[in-house]
Amino acid sequence: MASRQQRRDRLIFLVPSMTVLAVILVYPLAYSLGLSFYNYYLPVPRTTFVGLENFRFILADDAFWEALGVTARFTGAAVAIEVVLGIAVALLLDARIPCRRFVNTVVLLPMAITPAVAGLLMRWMFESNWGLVNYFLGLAGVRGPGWTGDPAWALWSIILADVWQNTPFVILVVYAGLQSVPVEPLEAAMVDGASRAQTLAHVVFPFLRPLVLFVLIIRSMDAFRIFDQVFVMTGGGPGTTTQTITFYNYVMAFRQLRMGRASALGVITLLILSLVIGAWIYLLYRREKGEW
Amino acid sequence: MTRRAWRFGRRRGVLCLILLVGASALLIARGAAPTAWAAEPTVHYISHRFPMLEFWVKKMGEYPGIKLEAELIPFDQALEKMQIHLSQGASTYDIMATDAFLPTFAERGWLMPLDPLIAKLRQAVEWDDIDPILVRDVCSYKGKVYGVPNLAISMFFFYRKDLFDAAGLKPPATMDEWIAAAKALTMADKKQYGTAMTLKAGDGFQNDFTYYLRTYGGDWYDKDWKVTIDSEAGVKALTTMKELMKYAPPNVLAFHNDESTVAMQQGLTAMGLLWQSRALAMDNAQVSKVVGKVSFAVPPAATKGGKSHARLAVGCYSISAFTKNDPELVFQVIGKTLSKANMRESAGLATPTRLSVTRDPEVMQKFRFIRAAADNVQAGARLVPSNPEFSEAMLQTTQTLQKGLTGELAIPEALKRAQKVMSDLMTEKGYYKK
Repeated sequence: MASRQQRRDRLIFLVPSMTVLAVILVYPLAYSLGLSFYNYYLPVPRTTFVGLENFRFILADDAFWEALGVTARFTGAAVAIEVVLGIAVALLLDARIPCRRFVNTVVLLPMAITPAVAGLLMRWMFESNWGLVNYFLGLAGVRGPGWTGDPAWALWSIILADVWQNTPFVILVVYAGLQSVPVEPLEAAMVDGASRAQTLAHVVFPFLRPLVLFVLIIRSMDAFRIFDQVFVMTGGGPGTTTQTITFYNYVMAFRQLRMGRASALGVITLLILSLVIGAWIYLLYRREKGEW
Repeated sequence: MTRRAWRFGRRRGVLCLILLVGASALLIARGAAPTAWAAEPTVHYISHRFPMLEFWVKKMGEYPGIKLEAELIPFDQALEKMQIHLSQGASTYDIMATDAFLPTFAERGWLMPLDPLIAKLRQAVEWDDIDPILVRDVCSYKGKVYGVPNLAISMFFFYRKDLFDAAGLKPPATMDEWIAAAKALTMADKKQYGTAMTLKAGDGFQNDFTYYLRTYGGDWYDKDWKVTIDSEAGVKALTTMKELMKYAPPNVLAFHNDESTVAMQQGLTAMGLLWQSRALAMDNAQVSKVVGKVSFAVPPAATKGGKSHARLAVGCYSISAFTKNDPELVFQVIGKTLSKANMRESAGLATPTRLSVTRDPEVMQKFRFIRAAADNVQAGARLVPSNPEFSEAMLQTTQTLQKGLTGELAIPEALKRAQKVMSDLMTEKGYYKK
């Protein structure tokens, strides 16, 4: 058991990191929470306390629910594609394909690009008249859609851009997981005559489950907060078909200059995101409660 | 190491530390007060980017004895940056292109009234040569001058004369003729579309919509500032825009002015409503495939012989109320940049705002589209409403109106919701009695 002196030393060692956390995490959060109870309109220096009025306004606002719907569709589609594709590619890389190192490097390249630059790149690739995507579709005899200017395709163009950039993260994590699967259970499965699919489902995937959960949580959080690609590729349009929660938050704060409402929206977003992550953990570990 | 050497080393270390701290303090102080240290004052400029403003910035940089730091960025980003900095009372910018949001900024106390400077420097900047109507109607607010007009431009009709001649068509005089001509000249398989449109939400969409709305007899507000877009004219405007969209490039809802200009320059579109400032670029062989093929006309009216009300815009240069530079110097930089000689040189980029230049027959003859611009104003080109709330509600309103074009909402519903957005803001700002 640690002595009083040891406990005190530990606390002293914790002070610097707790101070940093308080400055960069707790203070902004508390400040934002405080602002959400005020009518703070940037051009007017005077602020007034309005209680829960900002929250009431947002929850009654159609634009909020639309943005939430867009965010949910985006997160669901992007994360699902990234996880499935990422696992598939990781398995492929694990299967000792030729030029594996080269493929490994190339596959990971999109991760090295900042999201705004990736968005710009994708904006030009999805440009309907002169873009690369429609050019290749044209070579295949397909007339490409208007992508970012077409309400039916605009969200998909952002989803595809996100998949391009973030699938490598899933590949990286899952591939690392595959390297750590012990050989003994795999050999036992082979001796027992298990097929490749059975080995994957009953031996490999249980090992990967914590990693997949980790990837799902990280990617869901990131996807839910998507901003850069939306800002660069579509600006939330056409109409509001690609206006996600964070983009709507940005519009409220920096175009409408309603800082109080924007803070309230930030708080609501944080609560929703916490619920989503909690739900992921509960759903994926409901049989194994207590594992975490 | 001897004790003496150790001491000497320690002293040297302390000396180095003192020097380092001193140098850092010096650098920080220099950064905090650039005007106090710099040999020449730095004037900070921000505006959106298009050829006319690029020209002015080039000339401004030639002003002797100053260092110019200019930011020319897309319209919405420029507006956003100005709002954020000015709302905090920051002296980040000295000169700003305020244009349609001049009343909004003036109302919030972010702009410096120029009347005392004009009184003092009237001769030096040849103030009386600057069009007084533009000063009064656009660059003033509540009787005070807050800007110097730097350009006047209107949107007019660009069309490919070669394609029109080949198809036996004339420039459309009515909306129906426009739709018919656009249909006739659309050959999507050859990547040729009938018409360019500027439909990106924000000021781009607003420019186009204002033209259709007013040309069909409507407007944004009535004389009592009641919002009036949810009207028969509003329905006709959006219906015509939706019909024309069928003959526009597929991603036209993402088109701002640059995209519409490029579409015309690259031969992607056969006609369209574009800003006067883009006319010269059609004949620039370095960037245009249609040199000498584009002609200009007054935009179509609703019916034959009717009026056509395209957008007219007057740009103003304003001085930040929070500038730390000498206001007289900043005003002179603006005034000298907008000199007669510079304006004569740039007359092809926009209609000059100095009377002596606009009345110069040589200038009128040299730039063939200036005639179209003059006809356009005669035909009824008009400024946007001057109330501060107009630009404030623009993004949300146009996003909602755009939904009427995408089919997310029926046209009457889109108009109804857009009207509510604007009306709510007007109510909040105390325009209507509750």
